[in-house]
Amino acid sequence: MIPWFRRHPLAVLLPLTALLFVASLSLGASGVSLAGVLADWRAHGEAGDAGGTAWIIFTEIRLPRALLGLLVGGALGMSGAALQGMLRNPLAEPAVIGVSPCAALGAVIAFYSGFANSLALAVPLGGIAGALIAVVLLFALAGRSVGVLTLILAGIALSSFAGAATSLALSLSPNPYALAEIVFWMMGSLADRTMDQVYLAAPFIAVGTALLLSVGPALDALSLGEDTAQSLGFPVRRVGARVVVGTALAVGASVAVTGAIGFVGLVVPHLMRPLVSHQPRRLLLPSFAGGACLVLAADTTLRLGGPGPELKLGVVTALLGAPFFLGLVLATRRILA
Amino acid sequence: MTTLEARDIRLTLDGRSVLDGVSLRLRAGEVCGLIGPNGAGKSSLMRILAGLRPPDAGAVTLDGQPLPCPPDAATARRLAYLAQDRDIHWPLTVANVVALGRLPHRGPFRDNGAADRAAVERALAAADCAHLRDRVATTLSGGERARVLLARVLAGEPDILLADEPAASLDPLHQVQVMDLLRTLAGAGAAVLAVLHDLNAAAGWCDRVVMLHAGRVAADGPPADVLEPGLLRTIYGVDIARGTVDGQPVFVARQFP
Repeated sequence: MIPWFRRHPLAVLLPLTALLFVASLSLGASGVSLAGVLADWRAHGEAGDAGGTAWIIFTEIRLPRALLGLLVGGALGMSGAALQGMLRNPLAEPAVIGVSPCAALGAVIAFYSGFANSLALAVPLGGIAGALIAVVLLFALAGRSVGVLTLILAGIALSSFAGAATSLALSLSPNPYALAEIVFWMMGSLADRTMDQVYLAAPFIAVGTALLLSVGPALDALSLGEDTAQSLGFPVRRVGARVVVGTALAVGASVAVTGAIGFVGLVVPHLMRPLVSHQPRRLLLPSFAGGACLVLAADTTLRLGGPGPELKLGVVTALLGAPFFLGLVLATRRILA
Repeated sequence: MTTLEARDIRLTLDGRSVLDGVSLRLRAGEVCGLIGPNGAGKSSLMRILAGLRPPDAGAVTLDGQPLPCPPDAATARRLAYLAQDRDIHWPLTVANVVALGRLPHRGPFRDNGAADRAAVERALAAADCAHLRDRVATTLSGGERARVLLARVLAGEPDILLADEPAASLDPLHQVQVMDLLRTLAGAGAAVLAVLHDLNAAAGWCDRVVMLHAGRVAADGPPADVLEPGLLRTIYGVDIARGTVDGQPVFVARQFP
């Protein structure tokens, strides 16, 4: 590993994120290039009208898609890093505390109840409501002690319940088309999203990531256990609450607009950890960038498949992430052996 | 003048009385040893003194003011706690572990400044782990790890050090070094309270020894008074002979004949 890359991982990750963002903007089924978009914008800017086909494709289809890839990937990556740091458990990810399954359940209920037909934003609103209800239930279940074990157990209970309720909703679905729609939605996708969904999710993701960033030093202190962190002036209960609420806002809003995109929250922190000497605070921003890179790369890759039924994003992130993760496991095994 | 004082501390866990009216006053400039058999309540008392859990009854004060529980940053800058649990959860380098001791001293989004780095260097040198600086802390031996965690506490340059078994699992050389280090800290004006199981260390390095038994203070005074064979036999339930080597008391435990 090059030493300066270790000292400044963001110096590489941020340009890479920018590159993938631009790639996501330039590629698509329509074959419209960025140069074409620019030419179109100039021509119509002079004419003073709303823009031609290329401009519409860019602003209505590609821009929301790329922005959501950036935000959702970042939210998932950073939440995973914060949860792993807080719970001191390398297997932690947003699903472990029940947030993403509950957000998915909320969205499915919105689908199922038919609100989705009358209100365009019913599904994402349902998802956000599901995530917030998950937090309330989590604190009710875990009680006053936000101990690691209680939190994980309560989260697993919530996850199982939400998973079962989602299956129930699916099996009772009266309409096979609705069923297919829900199943596809649950696999996660950035396709056919609009700027409305970006505007809906972005504030939640911004507040959520700000909360997660605010506990960075406490996560460092927690590497020596709860007592030591507490003695260093970081009240562990408040830190736990911030991580849970931050994750619920960031991941809840993400799942609400894109469906469940697995693997990012689990794998990205592990990929980034060696770059920051395993320090939990320094892991947060690289995990945001890394998550954004993985989701943007996955989403761009699946669009290269050409016409026909698109692969689902959740599937591609897992297919791309799994080999990296496997390589990491093998490398770690060699070090430990 | 720094004073940490506990008055009439009571604590019940799962219906069992762990601390039953413990009072203790720790003053600047002294090394105080806290001894007693396993389960006497030493670690519970240390956690209460560090503000990590509230007692069921009684009060802890720092310079006459109630000790905040959990401690705030201002308290964390003055009072350091060395946990008995020596887990390090991520493969951090030794230098990064020791730097955690500076967390209460700096702003939340600042890296360690020059003063912080200097304090970390002093702590590494004092705990004899400067040569381990770039090692991964999770791969160290138990004794090395104990010294690194002690260096982490020293990096905070506290007025009060509460150390739960700082000398456990150290080889004789490092045990002597750690006890010397506690004396140096006290010499510089800090108040030190250390849980010890080694009576020789308690006799050789402490100004004062507090003996805890079944949640009560059984004795509190100079080592020569507290470490008295008759009392030790009653408290520990084993025959402990006291001799002297070069004028220094030594203790040998043996089964009742």
